[in-house]
Amino acid sequence: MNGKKEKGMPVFLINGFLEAGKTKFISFTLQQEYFKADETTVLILCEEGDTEYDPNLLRETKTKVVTVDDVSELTPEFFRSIEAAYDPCRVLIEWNGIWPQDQLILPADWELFQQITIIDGDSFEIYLNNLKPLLSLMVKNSELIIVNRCDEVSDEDILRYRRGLKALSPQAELIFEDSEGEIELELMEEDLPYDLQADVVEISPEAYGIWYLDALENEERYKGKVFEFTAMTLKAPEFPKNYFVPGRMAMTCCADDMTFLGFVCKAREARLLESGNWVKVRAKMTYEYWQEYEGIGPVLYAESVVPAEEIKEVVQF
Amino acid sequence: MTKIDIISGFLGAGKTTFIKKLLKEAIAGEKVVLIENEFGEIGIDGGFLQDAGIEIREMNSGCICCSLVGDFGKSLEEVLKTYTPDRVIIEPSGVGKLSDVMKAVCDVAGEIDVTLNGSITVVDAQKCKMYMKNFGEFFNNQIENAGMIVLSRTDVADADKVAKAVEMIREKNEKAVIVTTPIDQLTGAQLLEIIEQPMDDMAAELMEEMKHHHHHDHECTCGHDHHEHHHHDHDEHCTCGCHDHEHEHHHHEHHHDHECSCGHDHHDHDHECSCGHDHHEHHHHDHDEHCTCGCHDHEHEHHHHHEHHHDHECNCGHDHHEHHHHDHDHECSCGHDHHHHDADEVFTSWGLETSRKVEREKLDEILHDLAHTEKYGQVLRAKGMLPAADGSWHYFDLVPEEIEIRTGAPIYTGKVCVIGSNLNEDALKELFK
Repeated sequence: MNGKKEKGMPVFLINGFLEAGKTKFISFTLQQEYFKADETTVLILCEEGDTEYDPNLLRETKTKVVTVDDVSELTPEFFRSIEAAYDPCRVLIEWNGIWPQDQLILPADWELFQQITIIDGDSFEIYLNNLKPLLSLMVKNSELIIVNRCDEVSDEDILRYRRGLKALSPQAELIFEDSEGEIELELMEEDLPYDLQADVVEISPEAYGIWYLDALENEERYKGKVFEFTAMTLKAPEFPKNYFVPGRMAMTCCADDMTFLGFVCKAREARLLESGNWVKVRAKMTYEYWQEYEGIGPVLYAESVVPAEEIKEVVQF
Repeated sequence: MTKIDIISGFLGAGKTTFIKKLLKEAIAGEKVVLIENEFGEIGIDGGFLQDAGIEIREMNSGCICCSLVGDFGKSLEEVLKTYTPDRVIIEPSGVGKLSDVMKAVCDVAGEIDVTLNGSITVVDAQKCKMYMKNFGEFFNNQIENAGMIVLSRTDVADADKVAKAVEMIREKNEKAVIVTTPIDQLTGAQLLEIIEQPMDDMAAELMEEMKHHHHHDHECTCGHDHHEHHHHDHDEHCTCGCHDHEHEHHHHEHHHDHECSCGHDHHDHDHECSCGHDHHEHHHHDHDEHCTCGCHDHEHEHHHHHEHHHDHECNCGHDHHEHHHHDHDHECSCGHDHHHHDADEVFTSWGLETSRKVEREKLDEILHDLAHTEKYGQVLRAKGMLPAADGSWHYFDLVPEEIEIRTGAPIYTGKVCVIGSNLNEDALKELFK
């Protein structure tokens, strides 16, 4: 028939808080050539904001809207009934930002094809500060995060938001937009809180989080450079004897949800270290394949590893 | 005794602005602790707080995944014991349930001398409908449990949107005082008064007035002496606070059932009255001048235009119900239809809360219709305060064929109350729209 039975029902999930611009984004996407489909699309609306869908657009794109008022309505029977009623070739879900994203449980034969988060840059601060757990669930598995309406947001704040989002969702591609379109972030990245031109780049305890995230993203900037920082050691039995991970605990969401952030490090001293030691590491950064990274990522080659004072503060974004 | 006020509302609703206003204008000088479970949009200026001696406690970084209740109770208790403040203002998480916070406060109240004073919810007028639809439970909980609901951004929101918001809120909470006037037009004292006692009884007061005063204070040509009536001698030592009730009772039983052909003595009633008052003489008010029961005071306010009927000076603060109705069954030449004024006839009252601005000319027109026609039913009394476009307020009083409009200070929301019989409520609603 249409092959969907083998591959599973493709689901496009668009989430974000109320008024972020989800409806606008979905309307725009439906109009695009690349998103055209011959068969029926079902759009599950979990939220009704100020913007409404144009009935003509829905008709032209063979899109059927199903409205959901409460998260409890999203039962297996509900999804089955959609299949039965519309036999769609794909499903779009406009999620309700106040419903924890982990409450969406798709049928086994439905496949989350793409997840995109839309964020209103103008009100992001207040959501970031107060609803981080919801935000965290929302962006955790997103491939793309679009932060729009950044006209009034300072470059400094954009970088801060970017770090915050990166910490919550390292894999996501991040796009910041203002009324003129995408904002070029590369130029803005220059004001990092350390000097990349130094022979040995010192990473202060406060700069650790930024350094960690930026190194993940900008290989060309970090490759071959020597860094010095203080971190806690982590050893895992599956690591080769001369490897350890120096890292720091980070509060990506809240005090109940801490993550250890560190890069693999090859060091002669590694065999003498135990998990939980505090050390000062001086190491050169390279980019190599590593299984735990599931790809290429930063790998440190230590020049020296010496005992250091514990840093009590956790990394915050 | 520490008073505890809870100020809830979704992110960005305007809680901080409201709290600032209270701190600066209404409770300056009090020893206040502010407990915040949210990082607001506008930080409260630290310098100001320090100068004012206000303590701030932040909780849990506003994180909703860390349960509020247990920690919160502990923290509140600690604050109370450490600072013994006059007042604690709690700004809970914008996505929390107000009833949860109220419960936590009540739990603490069992052990420490505190009282849950105000529960206020700030709602963005422009977003009320959308939030109600999409947020559901916690948002509705904040509305349902509030004693006072402050609508913010009513100055920029579309008038229809504000009206719709009020309507939707009213459906969920019959009793709360809904503030629609932008708070910068109100005084801190006005807000505090509502926080302390969130009730609106204009309709009840006006109804009460109607029962007591079926008569107009304008000159009347019916030939009766309206000014010569009964006074009550209250028990000198009475502290029961039930005078109103008895008076009402008294008035109702007090109709003249004799035929009257004017110039008569209305005070010789033949009927028996069980109210215990002596109606047969021109009693004066023998209130105890030292009475401090305080239960009668506010009645004076809406009787002020009748006060000139007193034939003695009294400062006791009691409502003397100075004007007894003449429910004459005879034809009277005063031109008023006294039949509508019979106390045993059923009056209904109709009330409206609105933030809609009205021009003086338009109000004149509306009131003229109410006073001079029966399009809207038999209107016996109407009273209201409505905002004008220029920021001033129209205060009006209406009795049949008589209208008075004055300029007054802003109040928390525009109000209209109409009393009469066979009121056409739909038409009235439309009239003030």
